[in-house]
Amino acid sequence: MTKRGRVGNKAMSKPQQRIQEAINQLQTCVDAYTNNLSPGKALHAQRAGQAVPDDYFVRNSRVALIGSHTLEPLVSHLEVNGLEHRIRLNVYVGPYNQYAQEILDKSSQLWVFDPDVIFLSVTPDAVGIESWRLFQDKQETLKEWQKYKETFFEIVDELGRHMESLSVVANFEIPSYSPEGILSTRRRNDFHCWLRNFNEELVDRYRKAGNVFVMDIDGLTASWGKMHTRDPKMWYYGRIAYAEKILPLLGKSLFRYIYAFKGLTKKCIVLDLDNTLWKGIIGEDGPDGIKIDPVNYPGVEYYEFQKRLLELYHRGILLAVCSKNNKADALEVINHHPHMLLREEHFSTMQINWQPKEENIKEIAKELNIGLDSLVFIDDNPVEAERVRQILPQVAVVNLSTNTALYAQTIEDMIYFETLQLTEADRVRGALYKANKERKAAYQQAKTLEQFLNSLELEVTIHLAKVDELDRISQLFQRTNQFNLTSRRYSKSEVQNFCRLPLFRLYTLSVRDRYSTHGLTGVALIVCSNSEKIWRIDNFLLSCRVLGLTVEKAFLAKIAADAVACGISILCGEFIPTNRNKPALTFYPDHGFVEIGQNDNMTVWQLDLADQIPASDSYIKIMED
Amino acid sequence: MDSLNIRLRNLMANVFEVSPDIISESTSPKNLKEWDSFKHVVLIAELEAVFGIEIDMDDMLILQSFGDILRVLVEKYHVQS
Repeated sequence: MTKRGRVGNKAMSKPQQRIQEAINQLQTCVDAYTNNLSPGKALHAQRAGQAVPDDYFVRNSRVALIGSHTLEPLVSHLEVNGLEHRIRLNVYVGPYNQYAQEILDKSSQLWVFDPDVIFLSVTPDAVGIESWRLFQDKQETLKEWQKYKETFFEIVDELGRHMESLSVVANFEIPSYSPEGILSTRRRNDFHCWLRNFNEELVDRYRKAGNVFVMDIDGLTASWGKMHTRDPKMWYYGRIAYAEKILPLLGKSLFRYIYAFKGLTKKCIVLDLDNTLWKGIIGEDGPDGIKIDPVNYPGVEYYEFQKRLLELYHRGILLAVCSKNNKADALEVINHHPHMLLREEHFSTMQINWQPKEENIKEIAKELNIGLDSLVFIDDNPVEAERVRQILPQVAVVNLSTNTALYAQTIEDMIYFETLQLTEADRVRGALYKANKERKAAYQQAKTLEQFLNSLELEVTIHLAKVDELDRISQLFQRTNQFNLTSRRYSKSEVQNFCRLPLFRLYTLSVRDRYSTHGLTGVALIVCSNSEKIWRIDNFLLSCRVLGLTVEKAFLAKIAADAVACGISILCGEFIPTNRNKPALTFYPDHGFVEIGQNDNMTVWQLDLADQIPASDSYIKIMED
Repeated sequence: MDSLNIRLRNLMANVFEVSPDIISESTSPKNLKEWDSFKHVVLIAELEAVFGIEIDMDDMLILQSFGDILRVLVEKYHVQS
């Protein structure tokens, strides 16, 4: 992570300068915490936060943590998030394991504290929901658990009645251990199953509650690694349910609700172009040198990044461009690069010129009629990022990793766009919702498979292998198991030979439909005996990504058509069964080939092109290269 | 890098939110009111995070002074002094 530059200005008065220094010090501490998530770093930031004047903060929040276990260790990890996002937190931790009394007693410390966000975390073991008890008196135990569940829901209902506060209720973590061992998934009523049902009921019950949210602790601990969720020593020592190392994640996850509840949700993401939205610099590499690719490195990193941005767009987040470029060149890439996911239509405004970025960002805010504090700015260039951070401190500037493989993850981890419900800004995106409705309707209305396939608007591109496809081709030869007629594996150098020697014809198939671009997903290797007017299919394979789309038919039809054009009369091929290539078993007979021989378990097939030429389905559009 | 003695002093001062100057060889929960049972947990967690070690439960119970901690870090957990 890049270290933030610090603001210091000689024109500042002394008190102003002291304030600025305190803020700089705080930001240094927050960065130190981000880089090394230790409890000491969080404490250090907390202390630095005390020296910062109140007007640094844009919100205050009173947060209560209550539950069945020791929650104190979470406090500093929660507060440091507040410091970063300018929310001054005042945290109350309820007495150990008295959550029920606190919630139900109107005069308890909890309600005297008057929290605006309440976090309730109960672990199943604290309330007797433990696997070993199922082996004692199962019926009795289940009855008891059922009773506990009802009581728990009543308690949460009570939280929900406090309309002015937001309650965040942790679900149950389903442990990785099961006393049933591998039999766990054979049982209908085992311990895991009980917990899963509990979690599902919890979510269902509060799905529509405006002020009760279920926090998916089970999912969070799984993403961290359940083996490391609890430090047994700390559990035995002080009923501390979560290991120190997972607390930063839990703190951040809980903070998401506070951030959204306080209405700080950002509205627009402002993006640089070169080396941010795509790999390459238009001014140096030219529009043709720009790399974005659904599959291949390095363009794939940017493609994934664009996927995440597109998701934000569909959630109603505005996208804007702020780039130093010639506008015509940039638009050339945005509108015409074959793999751009984000097109001109997705951007609410584009500032593409040679003005300083802060000027362009101000222009964007003005044009969209939103505050600078509603903007998030992303630029791979740390100098530009720092400049905007200093000149426009209201704008949230993202620390983009120097590791471009993490670009997509940067978006995934962001807090900025968390929201408790769809806002007015989302709802006015009528056009978007209309498109979504149409897609759903297409699925539902399709009465036959053909209708459904027709609605997909399949497009295929088939051609002889190109040099820049060799990596992907050898990858498919190595990895494809299901739709693979012979499972003959070829390395990249062998693939190179197939391209070079006239004996071979190596075909590739690329597929897209209206919902996604599947990319290069089919390969066929033909051995040509032109003098004997026979083409032999040495291998023919499809990536599992495109199974069921019937694109293999279009692929074969193209090869057959080429064969006919070359004066070939016989197409033949082998099928070698493996224990995984069943999807390809009937490929030859389905397309009119007849079996002409058998050798061990290999079958040999042939098609007389004078009798029959395979044809593509009408719903697949064959694209011209 | 500072000697382990100084690093440990600063680490403990940060956790207990006191000045490093008041931490001596004999500082313990008995004579430092900020060293309560919760802060003891934070201290152990911070030692584990900073030195990349895992401290046993038994040690967690007996590490009751600056001097104890310094000694056990070096002798048992092989932290470079």
